[in-house]
Amino acid sequence: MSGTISVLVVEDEAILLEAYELILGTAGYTVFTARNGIEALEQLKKVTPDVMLLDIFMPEMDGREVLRNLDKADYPEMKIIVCSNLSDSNASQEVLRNGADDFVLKSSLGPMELIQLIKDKTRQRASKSES
Amino acid sequence: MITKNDKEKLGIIKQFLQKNASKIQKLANQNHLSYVGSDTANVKILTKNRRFFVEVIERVADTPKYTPRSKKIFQKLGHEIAQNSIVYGLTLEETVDSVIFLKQAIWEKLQVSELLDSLSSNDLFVFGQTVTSYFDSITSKIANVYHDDYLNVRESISQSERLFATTFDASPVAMTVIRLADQVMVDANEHFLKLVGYKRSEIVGRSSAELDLGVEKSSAKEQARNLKNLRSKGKLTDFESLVRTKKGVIKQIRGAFVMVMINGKEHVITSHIDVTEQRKADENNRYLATLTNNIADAVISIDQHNTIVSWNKSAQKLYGWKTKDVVGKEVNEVLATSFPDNQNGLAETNRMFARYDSWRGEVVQRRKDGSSINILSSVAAIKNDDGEVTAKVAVNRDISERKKAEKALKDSETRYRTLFNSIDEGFCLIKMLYDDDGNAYDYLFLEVNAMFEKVASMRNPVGKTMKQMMPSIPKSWIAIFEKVAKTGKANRSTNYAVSGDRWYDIYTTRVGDPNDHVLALLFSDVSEKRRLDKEREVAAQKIINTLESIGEAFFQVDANGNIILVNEGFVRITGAPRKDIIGQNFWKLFPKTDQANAPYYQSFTRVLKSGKQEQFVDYYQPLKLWLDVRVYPSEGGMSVFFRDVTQQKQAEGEQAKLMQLSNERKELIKITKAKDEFIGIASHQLRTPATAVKQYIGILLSGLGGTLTDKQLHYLESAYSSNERQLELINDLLKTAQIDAETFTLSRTSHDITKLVRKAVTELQSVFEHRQQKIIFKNFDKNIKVRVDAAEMNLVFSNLLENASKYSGENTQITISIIQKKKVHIVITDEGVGISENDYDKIFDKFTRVDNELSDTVNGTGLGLYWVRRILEMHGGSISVTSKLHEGSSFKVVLPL
Repeated sequence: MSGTISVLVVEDEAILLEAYELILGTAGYTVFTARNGIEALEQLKKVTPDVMLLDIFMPEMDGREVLRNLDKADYPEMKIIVCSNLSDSNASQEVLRNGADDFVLKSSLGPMELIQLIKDKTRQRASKSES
Repeated sequence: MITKNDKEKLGIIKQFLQKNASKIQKLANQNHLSYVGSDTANVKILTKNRRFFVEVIERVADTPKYTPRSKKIFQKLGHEIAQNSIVYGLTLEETVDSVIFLKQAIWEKLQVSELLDSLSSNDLFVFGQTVTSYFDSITSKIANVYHDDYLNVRESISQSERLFATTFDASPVAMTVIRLADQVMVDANEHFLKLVGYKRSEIVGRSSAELDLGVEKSSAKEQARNLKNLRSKGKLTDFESLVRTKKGVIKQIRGAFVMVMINGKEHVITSHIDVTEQRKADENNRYLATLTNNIADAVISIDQHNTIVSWNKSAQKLYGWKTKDVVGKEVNEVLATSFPDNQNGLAETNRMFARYDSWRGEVVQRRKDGSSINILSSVAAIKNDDGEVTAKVAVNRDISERKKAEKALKDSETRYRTLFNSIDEGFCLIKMLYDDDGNAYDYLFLEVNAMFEKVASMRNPVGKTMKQMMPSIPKSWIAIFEKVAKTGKANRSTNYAVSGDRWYDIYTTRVGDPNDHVLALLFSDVSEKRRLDKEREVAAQKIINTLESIGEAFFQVDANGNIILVNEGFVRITGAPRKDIIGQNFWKLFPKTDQANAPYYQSFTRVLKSGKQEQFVDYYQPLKLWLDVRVYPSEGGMSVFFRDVTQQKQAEGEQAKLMQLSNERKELIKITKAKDEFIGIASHQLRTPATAVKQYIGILLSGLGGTLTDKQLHYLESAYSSNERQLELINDLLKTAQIDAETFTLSRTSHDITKLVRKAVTELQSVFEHRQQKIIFKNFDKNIKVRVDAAEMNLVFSNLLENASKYSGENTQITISIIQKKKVHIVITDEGVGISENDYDKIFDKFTRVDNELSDTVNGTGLGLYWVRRILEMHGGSISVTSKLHEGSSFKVVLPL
């Protein structure tokens, strides 16, 4: 079931990107990675993931800019989870307004919580594909 | 028609005339004099025209042809000759004749030279005609000029005659005009006629000899001397004489003679005052007074043979002769009386004595030591019953001192005259005129100087009364003069004359004998000065009014450094009364040595030196005031304006402080902004490593990294929990930083506050259960809508409930009440350890953990209650606590609806 679900992880911290890759890969998801906003947009031209896990603070182009530059209409099925250690409520509100489906504090997510989060966001998609 | 040949001939004539000019002129003079007669035509005067005559001859030679232009040349010469002749007093006839003789002289000379023979008869005729025309031009011009001059002279004569006639008639003094040559009385005025009792027609045109007015004829010598004086000085004054009236009464008159030229003839104008009565009275009074009082005078009596009969003590003292030495001697042998002012003194004395039985006069007599003394002598006759003079008594007084004084007086009189004429103020002597009741009604001008006429705009007022000169004479003037005449107290007043619209400054003082009622007036037109004074006064008043009304302080210092003016503002600011300031020396009040004055002193001295105004603001220590000072140079001193700007200065200071605060605030905002950004970055950067730890330990714990032993799992759980604790601390710090940050904003929406409380209770259910604590809802109103940030409110209630739980023992209860009044009151009460009253305020501060029996076992960063307070404050609410140690605490949250 997991094999059909793909996640684009956009994260500039290599150590975290690696951890996410490991966790999600182990959990059976197809993982695409990008280290900044520009790479993310490049990836999105090639693939259409079910979930995009998007960091905010990144070099070159940050998560907020990615949201602004992304034409959501091109990816109607894609869930966008902004995952950042930026706990500013203004920031969370801004990203939610700009098309993010959820905002989570990065430090609050352990491996199991992350898998659970992706599972929750893709439940509808998963059940669809199952049926 | 004059040919070239003729021209040559005329050229010779010309040369001849030029060569013989003076001879021709001399010839003309001789002929003229022999014809007119040398007794009337003055040779010297005639030769005055010589230079013109020479020029006439030269012109005749130069211009042998008659043209309008040459005619003008001769007319001009005629004009010059006439003017010159008039100046030298030649008559028209004399002048014209001399010119005609000149013409004849020219022909005579030419004929003698036989030069005319060389001319053709026609040329001779033309030349003759030309010369005749030139001389006609000269003579007709001379006649013209004389005629014009005659008209002018007649006009000016008639003017002065009219003036003279007016003065003459109006004069209160008896006056006559006598032609000197034949002593014929040409005119006499009303007063004179009254004096002598004749009608005008009876005396005018008759000579003195015919009239026989004089009582005693002067000797020829005396007459010659008087005439000489009259001609050299122009006048004789104080001339006393006797006159016989028509009725035969002898009167003594005193007067003056003034020489004038009338129609070129010498005339004498006489003016007389009748002093008969005055003299008589004088004599009688003096005689009586002498007899009764003046024993200090020398009294000498003589018999009919002029032998000394008595000689009193004063006489002994005066003359140095003892009585016994002189009695029985002829008086003149002893005294050698002479009459210094009058050669006929003795005869005159005898004459007077015969008439009045008394005589008074000045004589010079000799003392025993041979020295001369001036004596005023009064002689009276002693008569017997038959009327025969039996003796004479002389009362003699030494007047040598008086004589000296009189001489001094005369000198000062000269000085007075000089002053009188040079004085640039109007000056006049007036005599007050009184009516029968003794009230002054007018005054007579006795003497005026030139400036008076100018200033008073009066011409020839002397001899006229003021009413004659100015009918609208102000009564006030008369009143002033009358008072001066009466009291002798000089008066200075400024008077207005309606006629002419002028103001006069008049200084009036009485002169001479009070009974003469003569006043001297110094007179100046002060209209302009008065107008300027008035303007200045008005301007000054305006300035003073303005100075008084301005809010600023003002004072003025004159060139001597004295304070001459201060205004109300000065008194107000300095508190110094005017009387203590005015007249004081500024530099004494304001010494250089006083350090507090330094900037002021420097500025003031600079202004005085440079004459340039200055302005400055400085603190003045003695008054403890900030002063805005402006210093202006004025008339050698300075005018200083200053105002109290202390408040303004303070305001400026405060404003500066505010500015500084504002700048600090801006800086603070900048810093705060930077801090916020820092928080943002820090929150990210601090969390990231811990997050990585969390992920990797999490991978191991969740088995994603392979199977681990129980022991390994236990160790990893410790690491995980420690990492969690670190993350919690980071979160707490960041939360605090956010709350403190300016940028922290609430997102408030309407919520039922009871639901929010219940939610927090629900979330902490496990905690309460763990400690077997019971939650009791008391007075729990429902559905109370409050606009709050739900997430932040959850933090508030969670914190309060968690604290209530943490600091209470097991099996206790936590009571929650929510009451809606004007505001919402939420009270959470526990049965915990309680808080000391001293710590009530502290517990809401940052990082504060108060000591209590549980503080060692209860975890906490000491930030929770701080967040609670800050969040509630941001909602416009508040939190407070009441507690009893060991019994429990009660936290009350108040929120606005």
